Amino acid sequence: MLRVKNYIESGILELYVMGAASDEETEELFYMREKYAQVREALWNLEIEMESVAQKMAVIPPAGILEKIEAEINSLVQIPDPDYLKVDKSSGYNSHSKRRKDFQFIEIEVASRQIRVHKLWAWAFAFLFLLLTFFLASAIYFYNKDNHIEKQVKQLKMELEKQRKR
Amino acid sequence: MLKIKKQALIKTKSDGIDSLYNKYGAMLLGYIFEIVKDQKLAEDFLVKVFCDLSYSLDELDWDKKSSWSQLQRFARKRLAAFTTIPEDEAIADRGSLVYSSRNKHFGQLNHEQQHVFYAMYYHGKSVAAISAELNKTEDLIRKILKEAFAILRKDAES
Repeated sequence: MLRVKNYIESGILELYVMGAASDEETEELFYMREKYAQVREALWNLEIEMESVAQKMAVIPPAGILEKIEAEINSLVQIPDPDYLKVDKSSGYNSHSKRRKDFQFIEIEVASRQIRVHKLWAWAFAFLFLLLTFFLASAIYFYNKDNHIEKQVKQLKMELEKQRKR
Repeated sequence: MLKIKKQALIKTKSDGIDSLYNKYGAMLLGYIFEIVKDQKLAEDFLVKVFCDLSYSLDELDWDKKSSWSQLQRFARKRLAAFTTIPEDEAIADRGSLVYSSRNKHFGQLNHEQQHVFYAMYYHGKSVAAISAELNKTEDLIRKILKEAFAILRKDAES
């Protein structure tokens, strides 16, 4: 019981509701929350209180913001890239509309040193490799055969000369 | 068929975003404003956060985790350019990190409490990082945070 009380008092719950707890602390907190009703209750109360604090610091958005969000979501569904919507930090200018005008242009980046070829070339190269292997094997075979014949001819010539001398 | 599904998806997303906006829109705008310190920029970011949120609605755990904590963390990730201050700059700027806030509720906190609360809540800094910054023990930082939280809580109740 004392362990649970110390845990609640440790400040980890506050860290979690403020979004500053580490992954390990969060994991431990979830474990404690599941296991101990006091932790569950304390965390629940803190979360409600954190929301109350955030509500006190709230700023009412001007009219039209929700419509703007809905319009952006609908346009983003048509352009399946959420990062397309970027906020320019320096000017606060929403670059979506500007980039949309530029959408007709294709950005090309020449960074890769690799080229893309059709898959058929793999078969062509394999066939070429087999053909070259066949020619190489044939060349070695005929070279050896030629050498062998040459040796036999020489041997026959020598025998003929020997017979003539006799 | 595909078109109907797409429209239904947009409708579901739109409804989810509508209810989240109605409940948390003002809180999020207040939160974002405290970080970016510019009303127009904060509004632009609010739009961006909700647009990004529409893509991540299923990824967030709405049953087990607090909605506000998740939304606040989600927004802070999108504001990383504002919340990640280089360490040396943060130390040099220790005194002025907090106090441009127009939020009168921070006035109830002392200098240290403001710094700890602001660094954690708005900048997502860890206890260890703040402890190193302020040259105080981690236990003391947690204590300061608890005190700050208690004051703000009391203020919110009143």
